Amino acid sequence: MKRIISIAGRELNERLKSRSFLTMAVGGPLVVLFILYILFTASGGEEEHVRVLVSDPVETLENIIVPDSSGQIEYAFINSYVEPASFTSDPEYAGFDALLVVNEKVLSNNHVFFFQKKRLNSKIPLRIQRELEKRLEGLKAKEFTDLTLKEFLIVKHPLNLEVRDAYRPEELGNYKLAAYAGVVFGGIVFLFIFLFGMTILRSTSREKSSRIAEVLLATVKPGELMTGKLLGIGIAALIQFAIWTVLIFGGLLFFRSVFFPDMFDAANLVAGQEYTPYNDLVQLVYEQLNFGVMGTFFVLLLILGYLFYGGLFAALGAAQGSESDGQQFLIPLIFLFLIGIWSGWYVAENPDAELSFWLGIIPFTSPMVIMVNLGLGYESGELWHLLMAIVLLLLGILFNIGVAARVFKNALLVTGYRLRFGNLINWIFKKP
Amino acid sequence: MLEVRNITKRYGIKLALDNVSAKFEPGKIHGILGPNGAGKTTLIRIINQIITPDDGGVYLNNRLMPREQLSSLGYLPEERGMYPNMTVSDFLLFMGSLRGLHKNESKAALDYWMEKFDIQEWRGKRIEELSKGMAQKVQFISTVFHNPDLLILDEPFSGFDPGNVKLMRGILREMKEEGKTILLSTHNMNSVEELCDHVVLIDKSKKVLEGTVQEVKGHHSEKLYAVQFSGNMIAFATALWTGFDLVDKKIIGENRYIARVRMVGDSNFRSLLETLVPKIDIEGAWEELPSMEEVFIRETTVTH
Repeated sequence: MKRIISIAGRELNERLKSRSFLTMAVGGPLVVLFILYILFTASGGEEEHVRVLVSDPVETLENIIVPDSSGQIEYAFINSYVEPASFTSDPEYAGFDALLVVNEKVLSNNHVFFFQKKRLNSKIPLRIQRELEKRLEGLKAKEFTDLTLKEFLIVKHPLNLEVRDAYRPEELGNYKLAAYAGVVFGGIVFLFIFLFGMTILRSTSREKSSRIAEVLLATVKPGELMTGKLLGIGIAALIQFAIWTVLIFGGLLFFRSVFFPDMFDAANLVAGQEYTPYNDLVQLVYEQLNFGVMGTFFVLLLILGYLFYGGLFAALGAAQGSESDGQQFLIPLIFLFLIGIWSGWYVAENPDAELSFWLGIIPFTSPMVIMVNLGLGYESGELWHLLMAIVLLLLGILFNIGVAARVFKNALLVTGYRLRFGNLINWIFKKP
Repeated sequence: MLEVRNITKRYGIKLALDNVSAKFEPGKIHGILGPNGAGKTTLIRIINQIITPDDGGVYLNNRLMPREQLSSLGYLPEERGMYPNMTVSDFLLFMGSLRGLHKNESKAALDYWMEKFDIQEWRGKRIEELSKGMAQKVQFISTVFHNPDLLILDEPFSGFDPGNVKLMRGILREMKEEGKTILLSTHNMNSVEELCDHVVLIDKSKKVLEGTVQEVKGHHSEKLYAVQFSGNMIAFATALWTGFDLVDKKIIGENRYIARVRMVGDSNFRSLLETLVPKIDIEGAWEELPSMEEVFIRETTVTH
């Protein structure tokens, strides 16, 4: 055990002193935070101010469309027909972002054109449509009924269909988005496993090509060497993860205090408030995700997934004839990772499909799918899925490490060849 | 005493070692000799327990050598390997910790060896910054750092200048005096003659010879003796008329010669001296044994 600790300590020390570790520890979270910031702000598009020119030659709308209280959309009316070509070229219209053409037949054919100079956030045309509909409904109510607009709106009785989970009716939120949050978490798990798996591969391969492996094996067992290596690099991965967690959480708190200061202000949570000022992702991150559960499983799956795949990377590193040899054998491993990431997307889109169940328990994909399922929420009757997935993952770890240790031991001191598939098979079945 | 008994090892269909046995007494330097591919490295790796034999075993004091014994084994492989990014002191302390040294013991050993090799200023240098010779020294130190009882050195002098070879030979002799078992695999027969007490020669996976250097040379004796004398060369040659062959002669002064004589039939050194004493003044006489290099070539050529 002492020797394993010594090997792990050396590996850890080397990682912590390497520039790439520090770069990734600081750069990684900054990139994630930058992407989150873009998603938080851009996908909502709430800051965008849009000026819309309404071309209404016969004054159908009577120069009235009532915008919502955000003041984000501003309407200006012109009682003549404006061609899109002149709208884009005429300096008179330079201050407008979009042209809404309301022709005289609108009340009968319900057809209007909306020309935008730049690609606006997809929610803007929908809001303009809603506000125009409301105006036209008012006009129609006035023309075809004796109802006042207020009475008409009561009759119209718009519904807000709120979708909730039948098993957890008290929970709010967008489940698909939560599932994709699971995909992101699972993706980070796979990213860490791959990056640190590659570190194991390179470290093993370097020890083999520099022949230090022979000196080490005269003192420690191959299994001890591999375990120490997995342990040391694994601890480095966890330290990296801890730094990511602290920086990302710190960044999220910073975002909340600087960019969304009023989000948790009780004054904004008045019942029936019509308009939520932030986009779904912000709501998801700050209100909906259970970071306690997600974080716990994130760490657990990172460790288990790392152990599951780590042995395979160590075996491949030991099997390489030289440091540059055997790169082609990475392709199947990369393919497995891609399947893992695809499985996350598949389960998010098809949570109840039979394939989703299997992807959730197969150890190659389960670290990703479990995260997605946690985002979706395991139902009480499904907890055995989670338990079975963890047990199978543990069995997979034992199997993989057993196979990897054989290849590691049999291949580590063999040099002067180009790695072939036959070598790997031979080393797996050869008695050490 | 370290002993390998009936070791057989195959790699697929290739027989690497065929029923090899040898004994290595403590307090002696043992040469493991043989041409490339003979099976020396396989034997060393089996003693190191890096690989397991198909048959036979490695015994220490008549008991199968336990794995724990490896912490008191120092191994210098022919192809050297270290961690290039580590500093000299970090590398040596790491190797010490792997061999079970406590921190204080490791630090004391580090001070001792740095001083012994007079390389105090290298402590903080990264290994990749060292020259080949300097790196070789550090590797040698890492091998003996934990004061092992059993030392296995594969071509330990390659890459060293004569001064450092002398220094290392001195250290090996000191360790031998301390009662350590030293196994030396080398193709440098001068080193073998100078250092080894006992040799094992392996060829084509079989042990072909074992014994002290003198025994091995004696085994290859051609019954050739050198006689240094003063007197008449014709009288010397005439005296050797029956029972002896004059091989060659060298003039070393006025009427002074060194002649080499081969015994024929039942003749021996005693009968040679009895024949010559009445005829010439003998200044010295000795047996001319083959060098270890000649023994090596003969043994490995004969069996090929």
